Amino acid sequence: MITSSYFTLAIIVMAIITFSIRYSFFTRSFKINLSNKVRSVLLFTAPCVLTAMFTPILFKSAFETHQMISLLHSSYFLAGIATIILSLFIRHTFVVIILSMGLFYGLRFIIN
Amino acid sequence: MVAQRNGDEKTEYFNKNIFTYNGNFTLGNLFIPWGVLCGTLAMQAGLTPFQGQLTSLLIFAGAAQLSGIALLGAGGSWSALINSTLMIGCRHFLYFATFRNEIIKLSLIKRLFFAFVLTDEMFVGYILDRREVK
Repeated sequence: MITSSYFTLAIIVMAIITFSIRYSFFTRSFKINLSNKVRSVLLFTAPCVLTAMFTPILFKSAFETHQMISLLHSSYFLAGIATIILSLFIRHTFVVIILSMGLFYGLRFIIN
Repeated sequence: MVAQRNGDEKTEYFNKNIFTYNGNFTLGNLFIPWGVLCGTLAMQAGLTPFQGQLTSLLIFAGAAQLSGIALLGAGGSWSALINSTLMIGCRHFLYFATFRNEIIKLSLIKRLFFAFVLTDEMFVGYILDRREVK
């Protein structure tokens, strides 16, 4: 039975899990020592994690149809390529995001 | 490079930038399109506007929030919800290992605050800021 209070309870449980994962590393009783080398490797975590998150979305149509040619008609793939090209020329992150989001919505109207 | 910097100086960095949100307002702006996206998905999944707002206010986790809303909308089980939140949250372990040594010296309230606001955007902002300073 799905009710409104069920959703609220689920949201609170998720909030508790997320926060306890994040705070567990900052408690003083938790001892961990990392060498400088490991720490400089960990600085590359964000690009790696975020790449792992967006790549399946970018190639979604190829996974679904098993044909590489379908990528040329996929708004996700085309907008992704356009964003990479834009980011090479415009150094301002926020402008690139606004432009590429606009382009993506435009492509969604034209293609799908 | 970054790792060679003095630890106290970095603690000072976190202490100063606590209210200006990492001193990097451009990346702070990225929460606006994200909030719109999450709100739209929450409405589609059948949450009330107040609950949609609660996901952002309480969870504040990006990907975990999206998967959670999708699971709630599809009527997923509790174990699926808890497992996916845990698995997606695990990447924060990798982020926090990077600046744990500096944050650990701050007061309890500041540590609680940083545990709440540390997200993908903030981590990237921190790395970019450090490079510019250098």
